[in-house]
Amino acid sequence: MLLSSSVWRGNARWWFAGGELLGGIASGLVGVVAGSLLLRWWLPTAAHAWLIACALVAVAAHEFGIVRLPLPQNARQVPQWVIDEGGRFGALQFGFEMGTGARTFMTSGLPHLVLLAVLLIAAWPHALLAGLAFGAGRAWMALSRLWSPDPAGWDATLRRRDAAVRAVLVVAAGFVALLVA
Amino acid sequence: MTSPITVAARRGRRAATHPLATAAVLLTTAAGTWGLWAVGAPYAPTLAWVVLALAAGYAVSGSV
Repeated sequence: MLLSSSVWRGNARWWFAGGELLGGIASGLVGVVAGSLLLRWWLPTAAHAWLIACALVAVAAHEFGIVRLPLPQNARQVPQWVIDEGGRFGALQFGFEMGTGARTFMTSGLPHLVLLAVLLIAAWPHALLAGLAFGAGRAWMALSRLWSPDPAGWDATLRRRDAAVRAVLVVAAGFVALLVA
Repeated sequence: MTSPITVAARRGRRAATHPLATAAVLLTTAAGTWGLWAVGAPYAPTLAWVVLALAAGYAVSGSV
């Protein structure tokens, strides 16, 4: 598990977190540009909300284990050499690649829901903010493990409570996805 | 012997960093966003984007 990798030494964790935020912003930018160029001009406006609602139902079914969707993803981890570069820039690059969400395994469908919403309906400021928040969410899990008084126990708790955490998050995301759409 | 303050601080950190606690905070914030939207708060949609993306980022990071 890379949560315990050497990238956490010293203040590298802050560089990692900064990289996560930058990666998220980059993904938000790419999403809003790609959506504007490729989708929005020909898709009827009424279809946007329907597509997001359908994606929400599919993602919820996936998260609750009702169906197993083949989530589009770049199913590989950030290469070891990025981590081995060490220091601030290794951590920054590692964080950036994680923050984009484009170079890791995706165990949840929620990022796909956010991406779809950004592609279809996000205004520029909302796309950037969503990217920033996505990176912050990713960084928060790693940092909260580090701040925990017992990181090994924290891992065990996450494994034990994974289904409940997923369920709560998908309900929270569902609430606000309906507002966004 | 560990002081009560140290024990309390340790318990506080454990509770604050618990994954389920974070998810619960996000759920509460999502419900609050609905409330803000219902009363016509102009920043409710912006907050909705933030909560949605935070939840997505947190959900996917178990695989880090």
